[in-house]
Amino acid sequence: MTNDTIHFKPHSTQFIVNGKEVVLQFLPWVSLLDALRDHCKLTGTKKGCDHGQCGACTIIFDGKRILSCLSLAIMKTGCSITTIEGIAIGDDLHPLQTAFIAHDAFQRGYCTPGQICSGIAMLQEGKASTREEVKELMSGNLCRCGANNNIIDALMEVKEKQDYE
Amino acid sequence: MNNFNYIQVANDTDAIEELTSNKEGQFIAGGTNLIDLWKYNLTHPGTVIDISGLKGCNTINEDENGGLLLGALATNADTAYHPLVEKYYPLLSKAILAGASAQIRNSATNGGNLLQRTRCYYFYDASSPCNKRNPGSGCPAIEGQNRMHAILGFSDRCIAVFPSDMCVALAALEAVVNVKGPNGKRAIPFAEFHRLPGERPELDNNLDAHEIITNISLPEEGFEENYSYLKLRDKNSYAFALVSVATGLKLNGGNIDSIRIALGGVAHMPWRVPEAETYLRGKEATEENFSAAAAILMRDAKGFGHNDFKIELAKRAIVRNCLMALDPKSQRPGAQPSL
Amino acid sequence: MNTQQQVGKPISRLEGRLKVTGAAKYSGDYDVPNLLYGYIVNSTITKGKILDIDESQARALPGIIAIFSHKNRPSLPWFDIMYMDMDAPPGSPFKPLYDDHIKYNGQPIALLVAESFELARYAASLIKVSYEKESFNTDLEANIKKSRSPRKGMATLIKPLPPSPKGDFEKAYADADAKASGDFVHGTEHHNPLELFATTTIFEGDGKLTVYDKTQGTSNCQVYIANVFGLHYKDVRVLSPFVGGAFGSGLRPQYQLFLCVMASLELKRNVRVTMDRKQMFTFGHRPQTVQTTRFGATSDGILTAIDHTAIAETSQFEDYTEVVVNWANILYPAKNTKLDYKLVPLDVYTPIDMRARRKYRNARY
Repeated sequence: MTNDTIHFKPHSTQFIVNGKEVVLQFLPWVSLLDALRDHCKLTGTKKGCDHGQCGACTIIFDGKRILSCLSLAIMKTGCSITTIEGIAIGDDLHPLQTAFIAHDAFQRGYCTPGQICSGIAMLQEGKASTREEVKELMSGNLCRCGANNNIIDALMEVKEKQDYE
Repeated sequence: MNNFNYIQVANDTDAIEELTSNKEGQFIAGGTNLIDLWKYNLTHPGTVIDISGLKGCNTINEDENGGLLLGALATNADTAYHPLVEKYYPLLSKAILAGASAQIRNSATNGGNLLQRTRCYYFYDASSPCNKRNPGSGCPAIEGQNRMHAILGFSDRCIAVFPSDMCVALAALEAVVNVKGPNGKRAIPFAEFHRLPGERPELDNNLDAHEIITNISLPEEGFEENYSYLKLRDKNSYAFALVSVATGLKLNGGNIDSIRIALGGVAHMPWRVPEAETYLRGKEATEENFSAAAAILMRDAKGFGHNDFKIELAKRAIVRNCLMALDPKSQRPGAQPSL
Repeated sequence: MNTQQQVGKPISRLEGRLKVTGAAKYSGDYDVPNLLYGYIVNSTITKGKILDIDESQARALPGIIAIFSHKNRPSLPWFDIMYMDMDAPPGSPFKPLYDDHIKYNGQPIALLVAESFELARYAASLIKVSYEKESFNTDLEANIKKSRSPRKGMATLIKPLPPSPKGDFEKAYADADAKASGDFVHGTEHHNPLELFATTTIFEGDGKLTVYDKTQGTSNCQVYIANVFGLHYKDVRVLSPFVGGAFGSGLRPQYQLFLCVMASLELKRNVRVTMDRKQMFTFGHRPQTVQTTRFGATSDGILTAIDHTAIAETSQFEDYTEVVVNWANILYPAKNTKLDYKLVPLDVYTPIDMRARRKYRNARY
């Protein structure tokens, strides 16, 4: 790329993040992940690899779980986004958050926001019946501390209780 | 990642026009491979043309020939879980669900899946020579690390493999890729869509420079009774195939009436050898016969040192998958081996 | 509270709520005003010399604040001791950006500082470096004949080298009723915690810094920064309340800490430097090892002879050691032992401790 082809034209972008309207200007090259962390100051969503290989950046977009590192912020204008900061309602934790604590489903906690967003969306997708299927559908979220079994335990508990709106 | 211009288009005519008039223009839909390539400085878009909102391209409908039309912009997840795909083309559904992760499948589109690039380590390293990225610079994989690389259909310029799972099933189903360009529409049979590297490894497929994929037609035959997708990889999930096999077959009593077998992870495109399928027609669905067909499929297979194991692995995978196709209910999540 | 009543009962983590709500802050999360972003450039050759760094395309971008390399780095201490952190193995610590020599695979050679992360990252990709390449060695097995004994130092007091031979192993092994032997090869393993190494430095003015660093030793980093940059250690505050996994990789200051603090001091600005995932393969790791074992025992299972040799990789500039072969004789003392541990210096960064078992790649027995 030569310098004379550089364009610095920000685009006005409007999202609903965790129920609140946010209007910001972004250059096209800003990922949704960096937009949330650096511009919206919502640092709960984590950057583990920035290449779609770890799942730490998982957020819920229009009800579906996606990787925010492989999304451009400006392409999500007009959309509703839920990050980990929007999962609890005030002081009341979501049942999956409570289950994560009860089952010790984290150690360092860096993968945890992505695991929880991914897990809630996965339960709402309704495609997993067995533990093996839950594991397969959560395979896009890596954990390096070895809390995987506890994560699945927490998910299975919430799944059984059908407690995940 | 370089800075680039960004425009949105609402229909395929505008999309083609923008691509034609913008130097270094690239379409973006889901972006799950493209954004990755940009971040690694492997491709450098000048103008990014957002086609994600193109009208009428994200639906899945029955067509007048009893088959199915998959919109190019339908997501992989929506396609895999669509009731008509699950019922009549379960092989396709299983193959899509064996690929990537749930999050990626929620964003990735059907058109994008066909156009994704190889994950060869040298292709993915901007500081490395690579005949695909930089024709004439060399192929370090041939003498270097080549565990994931091709054992069939390669050339002395490139031994990369095509990583899509969905496309292995589409090859077995003999899908047709419908495209539109400045010169109008055309229909490309799946076996002619992707290319072998030959002397032009920089070309992955036979799309013309300014064509856009509009949808993918599936013929009526979906092998809904007997099918299987098997994916063998270094992890149980969320990894590319070392070897994968898609099988669809129709039985007549205990004999094979018709069969399709396509392989992934072994070549620059999904690998089918019609002679192996013809061989099996009319024969009993036994391990012995599937083995003989596997030998035909793997004829001319050659390893490059780190991937020699793929030859024997593929032969066994073909046999196992054909047997698994006799009992689809026994299949496990993640296209893992069953039986 | 009767403490005994708590023993054996599961208890939730105190910080659990913070982690499940995304409120726990890691070193790259802190909201800091007027922040500049740094992106690191690494060498694309393993060994040799930098001949030229062409920064022209990067400098031409609006919003680029600074480009640091060996050409324009601030004056840095020359003595090794100033760079020696508390976990430094015997040898000479690596000094980032010190000169034009490329010593190891993945060495950092420049830092781009810009007003946005994307700009710093893009500018980094425009840096063009020309090198004089030298031949290199990064394969332990290919270089096994170069093995030598480790240098002794503080580290070998804490991690003892094998004891001297006892008895007569060869005779005891030849006479043993039962024998077993095996060779094992372990490949390099990288920690790869989920959290990328990151440092956020706040330039407080008046010679003071507040540094949020991903580390397993805040005092270690504090003293390192003070020594390397000539600050009083009381003026350097290093915080790391939450660490997103390290597994040993955070025991020593990583190069993004050096580069971030250097940029902050030179520019008198707040700076954040985060590594990318590829860079997470370019520093301390669990070393490759080749181990050979021979055991002799009586017919009723008493070990009489133990021979265990391990040869591990280290860098060319520091001797990293592990306690590998001492254990067999501690667990099952035998009268005749031959235990040996050697190193092969390779053109890689110095290995570092890693928690959890290693996995062998090849075994013959």
